[in-house]
Amino acid sequence: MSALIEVEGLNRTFEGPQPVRALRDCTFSVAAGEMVAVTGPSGSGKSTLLNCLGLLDRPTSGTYLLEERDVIGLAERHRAALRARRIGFVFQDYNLLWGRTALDNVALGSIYQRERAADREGVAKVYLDLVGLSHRQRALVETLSGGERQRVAIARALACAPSLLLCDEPTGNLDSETGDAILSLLEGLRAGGQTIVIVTHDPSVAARASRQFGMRDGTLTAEV
Amino acid sequence: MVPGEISKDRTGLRMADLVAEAAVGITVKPLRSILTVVGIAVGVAALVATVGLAATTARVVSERFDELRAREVTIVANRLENLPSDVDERLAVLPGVEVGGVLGPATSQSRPVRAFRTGPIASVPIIAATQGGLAATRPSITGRSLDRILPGQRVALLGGDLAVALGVRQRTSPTTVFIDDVPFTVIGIIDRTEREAQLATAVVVPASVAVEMWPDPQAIVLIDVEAGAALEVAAAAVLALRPDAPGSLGARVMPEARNLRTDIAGELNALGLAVSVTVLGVAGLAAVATMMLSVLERRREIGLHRALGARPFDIGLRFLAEATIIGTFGGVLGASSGLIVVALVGTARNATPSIPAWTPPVAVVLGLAVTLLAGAYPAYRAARLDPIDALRG
Repeated sequence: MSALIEVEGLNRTFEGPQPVRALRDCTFSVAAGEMVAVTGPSGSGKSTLLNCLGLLDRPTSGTYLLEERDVIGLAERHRAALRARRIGFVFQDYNLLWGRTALDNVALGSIYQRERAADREGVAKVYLDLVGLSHRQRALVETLSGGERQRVAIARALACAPSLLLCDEPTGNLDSETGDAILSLLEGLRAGGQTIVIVTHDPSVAARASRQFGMRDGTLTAEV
Repeated sequence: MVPGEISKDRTGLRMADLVAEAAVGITVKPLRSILTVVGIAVGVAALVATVGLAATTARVVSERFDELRAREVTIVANRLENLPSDVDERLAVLPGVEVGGVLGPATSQSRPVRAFRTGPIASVPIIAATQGGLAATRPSITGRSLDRILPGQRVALLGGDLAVALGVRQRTSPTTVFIDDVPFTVIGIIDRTEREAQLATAVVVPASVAVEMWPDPQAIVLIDVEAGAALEVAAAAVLALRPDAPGSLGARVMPEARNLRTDIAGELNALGLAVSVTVLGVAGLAAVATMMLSVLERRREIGLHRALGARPFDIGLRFLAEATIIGTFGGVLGASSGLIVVALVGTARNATPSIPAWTPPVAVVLGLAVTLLAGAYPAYRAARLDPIDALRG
């Protein structure tokens, strides 16, 4: 299996009166179709790593190949284009837009791909069906349960047909039963060939991944 | 896409999505958006209304002045002695002349004037006039005018305001005032005039007396003419008064009423524009504040869009699109309201509402420009937000 992500010697230092080294020489790779979990306590650098992988943040040094392409030095417009077409995000607190329906929120996932609104809605319906919410597509997101909201967020992330799905504590705001259902959904996606990186501090979530990395003080510890 | 290759497909917002997203963004906080629209609308309405009301007022004012302005000729000579003694008679026979004669300062400096029972008023303009010159001001006089006055007879008419100040009222027996301690018999009081409003605070004496008393009486002739005859009368009058040296006299015809209207409209427009631009500026500042608040409140949304693939340019463009919608609504609403105000006020004042044709479209564009200007900084700030910070909220 070819590597979708290849990271070598990745560093991220936040400048200031007292510089903070959030990532230190991180080296790892993720093959296409894998579900990898990065675990560690708060402040260990998990989210910084996720932001770098998602091209929301720029590493200070190191190499990051996404689909065999060096993406560290890309101009912002190319990074934005990769986020629009190749990367999907799932956040702990969903980041759904209130006052809009589930369908509108999912259709938003591919809005920067310059697809027509009608086409985006068609795709959104497919992914809402995939996450089991086709019957709730016209519901305003504020009327949905926590589990349903996270399903909508996953459908939105999938709507741009990403090669990489990044999940930041996807079950952090859910009860164990709902969280389990979400993880089952992610496992199903992985089984379908979706590459997933999950950041979590919950060992039971990490245990569902095909591989786990530990993280402490910005350093990737041994593969668990 | 082939691994290692950068996508050549364009990303970013389609125009339809940009407008739709901007419209949704505006409706997130409808009350705030409505208030912003109203703020811009008030500024634009003020602009349209002030320009319209200024134009309407200018039209009314100039129409009321038209008749008098078109019917007035002034002739100036170097010295009063340069004019013949029968100015009134020479003018009276000219075609188009209603009445005319001498009416000008008897002396270059105002003089002290007193009555019997009052102290002197230190500085009173003294006007030298003939009966024709006084009549050309279309006066309303209590008592007698300057007709049937003997040459050299020291009589005077008091302006209404001066008469009050001197304690001189209409009376059956003659009253005396002293100019430079020389007694003059008051034969009448000028209650008001349609021309030469300064007569209200002046003393009018016969031109023949002024020539004797003061060395420098100014030679000004005022002629009331028939409508449309001003230019012809001006040419004929200088010949009639000084056939030997018409070039020694200068004739002045009042400018065209159209020019006056333009002048008045210009002055009122400038005043109105200053007020309305101030209002529009204040509305713009308020719009900056509300849009800035909107950016701060929607940080997570901005962060989400960045995660979904928005470039900073897309974020800025979206806030500018919201400003465009707000500015367009505000501009159209304001221009319409301004037109209605002009129509209502004009109707209430029984005047024909008048507004330059360029005003409504220019006001709409100006409202839009102010809103875009107001939205530029918030849009810039939104575009510059760090996506990670924005996602944290």
